[in-house]
Amino acid sequence: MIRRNGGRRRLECLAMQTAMIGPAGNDAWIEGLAAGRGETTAALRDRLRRGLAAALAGRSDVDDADLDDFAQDAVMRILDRLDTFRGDSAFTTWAMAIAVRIGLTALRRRRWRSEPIDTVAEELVAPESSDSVSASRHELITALRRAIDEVLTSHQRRVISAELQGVPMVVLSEELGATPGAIYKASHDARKKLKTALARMGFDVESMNESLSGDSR
Amino acid sequence: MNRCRAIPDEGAMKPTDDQLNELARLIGETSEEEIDCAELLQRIAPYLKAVTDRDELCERLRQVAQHLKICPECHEEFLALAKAEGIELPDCT
Repeated sequence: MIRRNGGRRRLECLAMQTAMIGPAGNDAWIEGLAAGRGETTAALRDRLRRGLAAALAGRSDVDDADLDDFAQDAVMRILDRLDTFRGDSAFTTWAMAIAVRIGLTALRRRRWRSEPIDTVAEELVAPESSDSVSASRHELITALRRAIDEVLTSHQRRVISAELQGVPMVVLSEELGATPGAIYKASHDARKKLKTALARMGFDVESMNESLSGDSR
Repeated sequence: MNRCRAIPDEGAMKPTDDQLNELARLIGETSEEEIDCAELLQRIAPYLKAVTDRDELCERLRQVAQHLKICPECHEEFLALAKAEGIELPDCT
């Protein structure tokens, strides 16, 4: 009798643990989520929340309600994109990557939107430091300024400018009405054009690296 | 009054030397073919495992490594993912 009760308790304990950590193996996760099993969804949400808490520990701009929201949003996104999981990693790591992107994207948007506009003005008039850079680096910077003016479209200049000033991708995407993929392509095309233009001016990758690593004093 | 920050318009582009140094670094890292942030999200989990296990990177994971050098947001997410998974990354990452 005692043994039977002990066995039942162990089974109950095992069931609770299974509910907390979720099923074992990718197929079991996907099967449970695709079937809409509540315990699998809850286990995923719990796992993502704990992971987010670890990933964002020490940040003053995150509270418990944020972690709940991020985990919930991630579960919804994962359920929506279950068929895009390629099976080349642990399912839970793939899911965690999605949760991390959702959380950090929300925090970047919030931070950018809440900072005073004066910060931007200060950045735009930041003094140049040409007297402290080496001659070769100064030449590279001068060539780069010229290449920006000569080869980039106004849209590419805007994207590059925003990136250099740390505008989050999500904000840029919303402001320009373009997908993040389209913005990345604009940035990539701009960098390739600048690379070609700099090569024409005598700056290949090797000489650029030398210029950038040169002692500035 | 705290007004919302707006993205700079093209006409206001006055990059500092430090910003141009960073742009030069990015240009040096630029490849003819690159994956974007959406594709990176699909490959970051196997990349994390390969880095943790110190496996040699296949071409599709080398593209992940290249993207992480270009994109500070994806790099931040990679480090956060490692923390979330309780993984201590090798120094080289």
